[in-house]
Amino acid sequence: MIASRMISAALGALAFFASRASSQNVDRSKRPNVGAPPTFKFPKVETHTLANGLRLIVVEDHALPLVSTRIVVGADSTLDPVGKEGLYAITVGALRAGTTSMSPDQLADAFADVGTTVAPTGFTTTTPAFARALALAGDMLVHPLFDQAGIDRRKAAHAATARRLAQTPFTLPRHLFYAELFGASDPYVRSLVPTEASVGGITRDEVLRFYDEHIRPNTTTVVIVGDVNDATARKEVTRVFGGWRSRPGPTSKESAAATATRPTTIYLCDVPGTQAYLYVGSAGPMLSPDFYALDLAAAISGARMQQTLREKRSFMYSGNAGLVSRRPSAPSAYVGSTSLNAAKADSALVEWLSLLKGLGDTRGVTAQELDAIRRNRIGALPARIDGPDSLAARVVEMVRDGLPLDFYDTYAARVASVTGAEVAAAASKYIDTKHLVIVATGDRAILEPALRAANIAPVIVVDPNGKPIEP
Amino acid sequence: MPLLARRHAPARTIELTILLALLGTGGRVVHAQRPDAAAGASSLRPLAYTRIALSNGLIALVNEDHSSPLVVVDVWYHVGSKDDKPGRTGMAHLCEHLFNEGSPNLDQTEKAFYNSIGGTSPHYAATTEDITHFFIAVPSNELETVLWAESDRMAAPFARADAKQLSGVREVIGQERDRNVENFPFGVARELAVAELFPVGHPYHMTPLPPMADLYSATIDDLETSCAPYYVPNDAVLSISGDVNASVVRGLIQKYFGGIPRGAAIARPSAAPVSLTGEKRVVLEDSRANQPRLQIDWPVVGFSHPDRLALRALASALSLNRFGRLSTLLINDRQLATTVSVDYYDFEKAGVFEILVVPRPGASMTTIETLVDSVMASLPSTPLTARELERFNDYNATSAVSSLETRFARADTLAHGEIFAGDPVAYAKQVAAARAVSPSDVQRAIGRYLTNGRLVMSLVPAGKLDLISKPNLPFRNVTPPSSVRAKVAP
Repeated sequence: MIASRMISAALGALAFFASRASSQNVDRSKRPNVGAPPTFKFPKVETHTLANGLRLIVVEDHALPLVSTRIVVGADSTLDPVGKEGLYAITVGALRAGTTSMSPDQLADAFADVGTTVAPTGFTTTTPAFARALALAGDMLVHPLFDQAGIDRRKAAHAATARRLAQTPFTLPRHLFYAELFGASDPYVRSLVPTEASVGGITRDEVLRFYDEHIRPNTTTVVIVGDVNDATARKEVTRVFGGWRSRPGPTSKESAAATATRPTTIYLCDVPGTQAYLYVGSAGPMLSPDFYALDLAAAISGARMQQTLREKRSFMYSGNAGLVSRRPSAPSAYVGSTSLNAAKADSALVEWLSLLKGLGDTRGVTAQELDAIRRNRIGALPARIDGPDSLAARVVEMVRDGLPLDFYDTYAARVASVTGAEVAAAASKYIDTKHLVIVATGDRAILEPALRAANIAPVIVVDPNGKPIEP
Repeated sequence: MPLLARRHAPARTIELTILLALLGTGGRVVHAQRPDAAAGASSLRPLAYTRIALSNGLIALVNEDHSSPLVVVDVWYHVGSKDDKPGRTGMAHLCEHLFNEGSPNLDQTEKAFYNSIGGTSPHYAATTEDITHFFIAVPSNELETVLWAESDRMAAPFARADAKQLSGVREVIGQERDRNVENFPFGVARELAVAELFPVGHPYHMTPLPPMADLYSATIDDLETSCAPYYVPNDAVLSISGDVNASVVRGLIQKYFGGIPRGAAIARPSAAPVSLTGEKRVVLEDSRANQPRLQIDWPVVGFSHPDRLALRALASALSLNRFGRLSTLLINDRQLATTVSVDYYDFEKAGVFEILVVPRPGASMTTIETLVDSVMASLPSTPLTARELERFNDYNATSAVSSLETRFARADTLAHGEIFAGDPVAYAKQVAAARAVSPSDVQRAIGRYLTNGRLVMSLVPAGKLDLISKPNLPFRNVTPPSSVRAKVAP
C-alpha cells in the first residue's frame, strides 16, 4: 500500500482533462507541511469490584448524551459441550425471553420507553434512560424466567442462523482453515459451526445447568462508557447487581493447544461457483514480547496483499490479513483471507506467499513501509474510539483478550519503537511460509490442476468435513 | 465500494427529537428533558455546522468537535446509478473506482496514501443509487493534507486513467460483483426486484453494481461523458466533522478548491412516480440457498416526500419488537417464521417498501402470504394506535442521538441533507413532522401506495418450486443462469 506506483501513461492521460487544471493558481506539486501529530490519550479507566466479585469498569466520556453499557459474562461458546454447539448462545438469548417479574411483552414495552432494545449483554441509550435500561438488563441477567416457550423460540432463531450460516460462502473455508489449524474438536473450532441438529437437541435443563455453572457475578464484568460519572455508575450497578449471589467454581476451559506444525499444505474443497475463497495462516501467540512487532508484520502483510493482489494484479476485490485473538492462553492466529477469480487462484497464491516470505527474509520491510504502518496504527487510534460504542468495544476487547487495561496508554510508544529488524524477525518466526495452512474452496475442476501445476505445496482434496478424498 | 441500497439508515434519515448540541460549543450537551425515558424532549438543537459556499458552486459543511484529535473529511458527488445512461450501466460505480487511482500530484491510490498518514475508513468510498462519496478519518493535523489530495483529484479528475487501468479496475469490480451478488445466496434479488418495480429507462431500474456487460464495452473515452461532468465543484459537497476550526477550514477550502472552475450545469434525471397496474409474481431459484424467503415490494415515494414519515411509522408498527403486527403474528403467535423485517428504502426521488419473511422449516409461504395480506387488509379498520406511534417516535428519539455517535455519521448526515433537501439539518426539521404523523396519515399512505400494484417474490433453493407461495397463480421464473449454474446444495 505504501510504495508508489508508476503509471506508464500518466502524462498522456493528464492531457486528457488538462483544461480544467490550467486556470488554477494553487501549487499542488508539493504536499503541505503540517504540524506534529496530536498526542493520543486513551480516556481514564476506573475499575471497581463489588462485594459479590462483579467487576465494574467505567470510562467517562461526556461529549455526547449517551451511555454505552456492555456486560461481559465469564463464558462464551467455547464452553459448549460436544454435540451441543449453540448452548451458550441460546442460554444468553433466552435471558431476553422474560424474567421472573416481567413477561416478554412487558419487557418489550419497557424497551420502547427507554427508546432502545436492551439486551442482557448490553445496550446504548441516552443518559436519562441509562438507569432504567441498566435495571432491565440486570433483571434479565440475574432473574431469567427460562420458560420452555422462550427457549423454544430462541432455538428456532438459532437454527435459522445455523442454516443461514451454512449457505454463506465464507463459512466453509473459514471452518476448514481453523479445523486444520487447531483440530476439528477444538472448542473454538466447534463453536464456529453450530448446526440445526446441535441446536435442536438442546434441552431446557441444559440451559438451566449452563446458566447455573457459568453465569455469575464473580466472573462478570460490566463496562460503562459515556455520559455518566463514576459515582453514579457505581451506585446504579450496585443497586442492580449488588444482590446477585456469588458462587465459586471453575468457569472456563481452555482450548486445546494448536496442532503440531506441519509443512505448508493446501487443503482444497470443491464448491461450485466462479470465485475461490482462500485462507492462509498459522497459529501464533496473541500475547508475547513479540506482540507489537508481529502486529506490524501482520499489518504490513495486509498492505502488501492489497497492493499486489488488488492494485497490481486485479485478482481480488477485497482481502484481509491480521492477528486474530482468542481467549487468554489459547493459541491465536495469523490469518489472511480473500475471495477471488478461481482461475487466478494459483497465481494469487504464488504472489501471496512470495510477499509473506519477503517479510521475513533478507528483503525485510522498507523504511517507508515501516513508517507508513506505524503512522497508520497510531494515527487511527482516535477513530477507533470515536463515540461511546467504539470506546466500549475497545474496553471489552481488553477484558476478553486478557490485555492490561492500560494497553492503549502505552500502545503508541511501543509501536513507535519497533524496528524493521524486529518486524522481519517476528514475521520469520510466526508467519513461517514453510509451515502454513492454506485452504482453498471453489470449483475443483479449475483449482486442482492449476494448484498442482503451480507446485506451491502439496494439495490434499478434502470433503466439507475436512476428510481427505481419495484421488 | 459497498453498493447496498440505502435502507432508512438512521444516521441520515431519522428525525431527531433529541439532538446533539455538543458541537461548536466545547462539547457541552443538552440533555433530554423527560427524566424517565429517552423520548419526548423538545428543547434540543440539531447538529451545529458552518456552511461555506464558494463561487464555483462547491459547498463545504463544517461540524466542529474538539473532544478528540481527529477529523473526518467526506466528499460527496451528486452522481449515482440513477445517472447511468442506457447501455452504460455501472458507470457511476466505475467512476468511483477510477477516482481512487491517484491524481496528478499523487502517484498512488488515495486509500494507500491516506493509510500512510494515519488515516482509516470503514470503506473509503461508496456508490449508491444517488450519490458517490469518498470518506476518511485522519489525525486532525493532517486536515490540510487531505484537502490538498481531494482538491488535486477534483481539479483533474481521472487524470491518470488509461486503458490499462480501466481494464484492471473492471476486473476488480467483476470480483466485487461476484463476491456480493453472483456468488451470494439470493444476491441478485435486489436488482431483480427494482427491475420489476421500476420500468426500463426509469432511473432506479438498475442498481449501482449491475451485470458487467456494459462495463466490458466501456472505453476510456466514456469517462469524459459519463464521469468527468459530475466530478466538478458545483456537484460536490465537502463535509467535515471533527477537531477543526471553521475559519481555518474556510481559508483552506478557498486556497485548494477556489481555483477549480465550475463545471457545466448537470441535467438530473427525472423520476416519474411509479405505480404497477397489478400484482407481479416472480420466482428466483438459487442453488446456494438452503432456505426460502418471501419478499413483497411496493414502489413508493422518496426522501423528500411528505408521505415518507407515515411509511416509516407503518414499517415500525408492522415489525417493531414483539409488538410489530406482522412479527408478533408470524414469529410468536403462529410460529411460522424466524425473521420478519419491514424496510423502507428511501432513495432521493423514489423508494421501495418491503416486507421480508424467512419461514421456519416446513412452514408454508402460501399461508404466510395469506396472513401478511390479512394484516394489511385489517389496517383500514384497525388504524395505528397512539401507543404504536409513540413507540415509533420513542425509538426514533434515541437512535437519533446514538446514530450520530461517530464523526463519519455526522459528516454523512449533513451532506445527505444538503444534497437531498438543500438543508444540512433537514432531518431536524422533520422532528415535529414525525411527532405529528397521525393514524389517518398512515391510512392515506397505505391507500395510496400499498395497493395490489406490487411485486411478490418467492425465493427458493434451486429446484424447490414446491415451496413457492400460491403456486396456482401465474408467475414468472426470473432466475438468471448464474444463480443455478452451480450444483444443487445438499
